[in-house]
Amino acid sequence: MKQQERGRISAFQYMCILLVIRMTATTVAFPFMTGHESPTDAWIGALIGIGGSLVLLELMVRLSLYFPDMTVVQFSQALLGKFFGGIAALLLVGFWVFDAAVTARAMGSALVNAFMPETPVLVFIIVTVFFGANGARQGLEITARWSELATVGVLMTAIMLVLPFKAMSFQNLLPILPYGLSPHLKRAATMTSMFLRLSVLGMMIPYVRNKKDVLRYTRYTVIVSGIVLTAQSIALVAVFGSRAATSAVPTLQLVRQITIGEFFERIEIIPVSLWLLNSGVNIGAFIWASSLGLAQLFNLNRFEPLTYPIGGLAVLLGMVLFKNYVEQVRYLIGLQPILVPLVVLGVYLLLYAGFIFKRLWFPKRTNSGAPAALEADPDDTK
Amino acid sequence: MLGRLVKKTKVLGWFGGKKRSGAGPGRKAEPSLSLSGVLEVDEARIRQAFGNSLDLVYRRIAIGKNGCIQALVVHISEMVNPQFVSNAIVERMVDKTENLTDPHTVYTHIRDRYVEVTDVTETHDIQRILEEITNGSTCIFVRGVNTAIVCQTQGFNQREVSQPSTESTIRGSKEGFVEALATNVSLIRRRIRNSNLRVEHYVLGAVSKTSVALVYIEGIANPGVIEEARQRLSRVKVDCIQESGQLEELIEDAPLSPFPTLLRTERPDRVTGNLLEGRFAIVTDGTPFVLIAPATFSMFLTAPEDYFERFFAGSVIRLLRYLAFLISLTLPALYIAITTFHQELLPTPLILSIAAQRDHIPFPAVVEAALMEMVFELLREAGIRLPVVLGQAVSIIGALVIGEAALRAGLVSAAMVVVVALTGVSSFATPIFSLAISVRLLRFPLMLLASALGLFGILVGLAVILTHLLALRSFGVPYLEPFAPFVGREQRDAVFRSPWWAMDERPGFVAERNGKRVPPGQMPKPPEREEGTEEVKP
Repeated sequence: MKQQERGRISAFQYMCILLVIRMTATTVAFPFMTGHESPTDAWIGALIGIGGSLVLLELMVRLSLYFPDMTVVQFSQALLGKFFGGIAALLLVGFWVFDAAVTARAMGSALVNAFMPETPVLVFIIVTVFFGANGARQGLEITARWSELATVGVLMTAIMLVLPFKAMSFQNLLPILPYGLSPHLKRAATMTSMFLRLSVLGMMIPYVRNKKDVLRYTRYTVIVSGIVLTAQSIALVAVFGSRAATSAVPTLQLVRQITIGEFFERIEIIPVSLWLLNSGVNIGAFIWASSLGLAQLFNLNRFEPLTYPIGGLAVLLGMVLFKNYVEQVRYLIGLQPILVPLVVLGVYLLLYAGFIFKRLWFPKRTNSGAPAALEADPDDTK
Repeated sequence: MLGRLVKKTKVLGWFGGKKRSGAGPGRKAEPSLSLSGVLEVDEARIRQAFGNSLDLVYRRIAIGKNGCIQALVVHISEMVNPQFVSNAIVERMVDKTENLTDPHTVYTHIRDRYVEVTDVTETHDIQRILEEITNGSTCIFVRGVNTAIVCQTQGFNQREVSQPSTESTIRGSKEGFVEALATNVSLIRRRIRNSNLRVEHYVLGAVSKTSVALVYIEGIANPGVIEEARQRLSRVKVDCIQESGQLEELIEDAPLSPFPTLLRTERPDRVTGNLLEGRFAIVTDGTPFVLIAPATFSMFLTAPEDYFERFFAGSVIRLLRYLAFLISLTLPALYIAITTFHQELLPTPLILSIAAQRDHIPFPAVVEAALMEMVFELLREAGIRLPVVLGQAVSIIGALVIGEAALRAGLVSAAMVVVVALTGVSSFATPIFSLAISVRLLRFPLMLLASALGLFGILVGLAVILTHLLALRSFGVPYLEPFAPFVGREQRDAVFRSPWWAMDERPGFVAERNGKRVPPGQMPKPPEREEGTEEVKP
């Protein structure tokens, strides 16, 4: 097995990458609120979604930890055979490229809507993706350090949400559960689909230095981002009431409420800049994962030359996926909660099936579940 | 007098232990000739090698009983201490050997008893003798003996130790490095009186044979890093090293980066502090600038004073410096972006006032900003190059050109003048000038990006710079080390400087083996008192 990525990251950096990926998806657009019924109860759906995501991510991480030195692309081939494993891995890689494109497009259109309506969205997509691919090309360590810095942005966003406290009225949260639980299940599905973007962790776990902490930090990620999201939805409803559901970029409107000392009035530029950096890092992580995945799938020597072409593909996809902003929002609300679980959970279901099958078939061969031939890996250096 | 000389020779003697002059690159692999023992032949060889240079001194003396033995003393006149040579060598050679007749006895007696120099060696290799003479040693030849005595008698004119001109502080040592390597090493050695302080000697430059010393503390510095430094130093192949900047370019990690990955300083206290954190220093002969590595970004925004003044003040001032760094990098670009694209970001009265000022300006904001920045850089450069007596003239012209005249002539707006001035002042707040230079360069691409894409362009420019910084390493240590990768413990000495009693650990990336600086619990407390008494318990 060739060693394409030589960097090693700490478990803390791993958590930072996941946090950044998770938070970018919902900072600008707030898809589990927009367009749903019963917007005032958004936080209930968020909580259900967090519970579900905790279980699903735990399963994904545990499978990866059975193969501590292999990425999901590598062990899928070990479990399902060269051909079917390759197809499963390709599905995941394709999903990451697709998601990088969606992220770039979402960020670009938010910038166009909010600040520079005359600039074509292509400019923003190209520049953001270039920034991401540039980071991805330098390897996982750079992406990890970037996300450590970007996590500061995540935390600042969380703090900023408390600032318009004068405009908040918690009466808006009442009544609780006016439509019953069913809209919340739909919302929870949206939330879970967002958490499933974290499937890139399958690529990162082999490069984490301290594997004991991986599970713990994955849980932290889900809980921290869940808390921030819940607080965000409560703050939005407290400020806007049920109007929150009709806005396309509610978070941005929330930040627009903030004035500091009646002098700094439009400080939304600060969170938007942070979000831009976050989405760049996010796209970088996806591009890194997909190019490394491709390199491992086709047994290439290096993954770096793939980063810019994959970035180009993401730009192209980002341009052709949606005709306009409405389509994009419709995708985020309608299609994503079905498509993402179908791909990611489908692949992982197959992997687990293969895993159990192998365990039943060769129960005595190894105690870790990996075929013995793979355990004696010459590159297995810590 | 003698005490001073002994001290001086001692300083030089420190190199004795680990001399690597033989391993130096660029040394010609000539077949080494041995001394013949015939004075005339050997002198002719040396004369031939130096080609009748003006400053060579060949002193023939007759020693022994009735002057029966011929001896030759060779040195370069301005590289040695002449008093010392005449008192401690020539005079004693003549006086003490009056009863001896055998040249070999005379030779051994001179070598072992008479010469009043602490560092005395002998050799028969002519190549080595030539090197020693160019180094400022005095060589003694005795007729009939085919080895020569080499006495370390260096003594040349050097600048007095004075206040460092590029890094001044209010509180702290006023000593700065000078050009002489031995003095510089002694300045470090005087601050760390510990036998674990290692000084390794290298001779670099095929022609110039410049002395370079690698200084570190054994047991604190990471041996892997030191080995890497040794490797890189011995890989250097140039003909001459005039300044440590030259050396820096030959051993740094990222030769194409605009950012410096080795810190240069004129202050011995900065070197001492960094040695104690586990870094190493490279002292180059002929320049007061000492290189320190592994260097991280935060070191460039640290002044020695941060550690000497109270820690509250130190922290706030350091924070101010980070702010100044950001201002000097982005302020002109922000001005362009805001006046061109994002007028809504400023409060209405302010933007109206700026718009009114810019109303009669013929240029777009980017041209205005580039023009003023260029003028400012020009003035700054001219100010450095001009003779000191003319400096005032430049500042008068500068103030007039940048300030009043340009405004009155309607070339630039007053807000632009403020922006340029603020940028200039902020760039002077960077304690290490080599970082300020890279910021100066990066400001212009950012201004271009701002004029094309507004704040978004600035953000992307900064992001690309930051990606580059994140990928940088200095001798294996990530450049943005306490921030990304984030090290919680080291935040005590990053943007904020915590009190000395709380900084009980060395930076983990640098000092891997010996991380503990002092035992914990150093916070001073008043002594405990017994109930009801004012007396202090013994």
